[in-house]
Amino acid sequence: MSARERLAQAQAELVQALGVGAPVPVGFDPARVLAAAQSLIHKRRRGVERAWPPLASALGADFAVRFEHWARTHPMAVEPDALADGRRFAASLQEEGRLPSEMSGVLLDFDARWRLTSEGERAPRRGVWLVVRRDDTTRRLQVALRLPGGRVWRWVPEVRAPVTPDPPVRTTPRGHDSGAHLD
Amino acid sequence: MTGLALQGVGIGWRRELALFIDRLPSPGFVEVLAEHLPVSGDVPEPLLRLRERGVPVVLHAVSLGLGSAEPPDPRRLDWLARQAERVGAICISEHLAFVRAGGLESGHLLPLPRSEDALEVLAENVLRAQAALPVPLALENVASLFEWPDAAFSEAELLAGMLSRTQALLLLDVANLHAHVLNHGTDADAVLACVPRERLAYVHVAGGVQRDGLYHDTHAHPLHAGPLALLERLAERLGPVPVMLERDDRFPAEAELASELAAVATALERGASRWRTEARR
Repeated sequence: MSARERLAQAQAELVQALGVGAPVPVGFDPARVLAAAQSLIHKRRRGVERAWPPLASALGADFAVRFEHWARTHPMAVEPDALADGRRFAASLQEEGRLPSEMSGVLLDFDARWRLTSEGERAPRRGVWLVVRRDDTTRRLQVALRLPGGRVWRWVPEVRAPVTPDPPVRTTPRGHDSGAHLD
Repeated sequence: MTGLALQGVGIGWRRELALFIDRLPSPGFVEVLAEHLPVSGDVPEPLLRLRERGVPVVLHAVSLGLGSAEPPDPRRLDWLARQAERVGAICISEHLAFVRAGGLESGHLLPLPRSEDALEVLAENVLRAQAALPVPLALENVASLFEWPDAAFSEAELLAGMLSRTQALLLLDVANLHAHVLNHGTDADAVLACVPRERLAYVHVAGGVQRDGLYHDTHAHPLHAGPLALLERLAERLGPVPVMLERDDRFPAEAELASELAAVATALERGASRWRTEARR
């Protein structure tokens, strides 16, 4: 084996141990490698926390636990990118039905601006791009339109509070739909 | 003099610090993160203003992985060269580290094994990088929580080996050195002694935190006395060296940041004044 081949094997074993919890290669101090693995996950979480403040605040105390759990089984295969990482994490929450409902507008906006390639890289959308989807919770249609030049026009009707004896104070809905009904 | 026209106390340019840096009367130089620059479009306005003021710009990258078993990706080199030209960088710095292997990105700068194999591969990778980059390349010692087993030589010998086998300059991070002193018992004096003045590009200083008996180089906590003491010893040996503060997260109040910059300047001056006294003898 050449120096490159020997090095490639040794480096791959170490990165597997750090990234996806593969066995710590022989000779390393396992406690130290685990401490480094934890620190890498922490750094990755902090990146997503900074890139996606609404997601971190919507999940509150759950954010750290959920993100780290997800990150351990979803290593990064492309250049680290906290925006893309956060979007993939949000998608996994959505699949589990755990995505906080206040995130739908933010994700809609993101998806009108960016797409994730099959490799997982974040690429900007160009020209006109329309995103239409139905919100998981409210079942209402949401629309985002990317205009040439990059501005995004968004229409996300919020659910109005049901009429109760003591209705909570609500801010004006972003979108208005006179035929609204509440689930 | 070093191989570069850098001097004084600089700071890592970050968007969150743009206003603070803009107001600094005379920053020695700024270091810009290549991965944080927009891929296309305009260079951030505050950076252009700094250049107009004549503040030298250094480009710092974390994604080449020059210590990787694989040669540096020509597309990455190309991108880095373009970024250097866009910001008018006088130097590009990277790390004595690898960041990916076996199809996985670690998201971090991982230490190299201190082996003949690693040095051989590094030297080849550095040659390829230098051929593609428009300005001098400097390599930085990294901090780590663990070490590779069966090291064939010391940290000082790794740096000396890099300097003797490549034409690259050294970016000495005294906070990373401090981390290695605490985490691995590295001989700091041996490392400081192997740094030739003419090959030293500049010096990094940053804050960190001690957690569970390990020092973490976070760039998100206050500056410790340890790295400052190492800077002082370096300046005592080499005279005034260009040095800069790195802060990447949990940005403190301006007064705190200013006092950290002042502490860096003081440590540098204390060491340099002893160097001057020694030189007069």
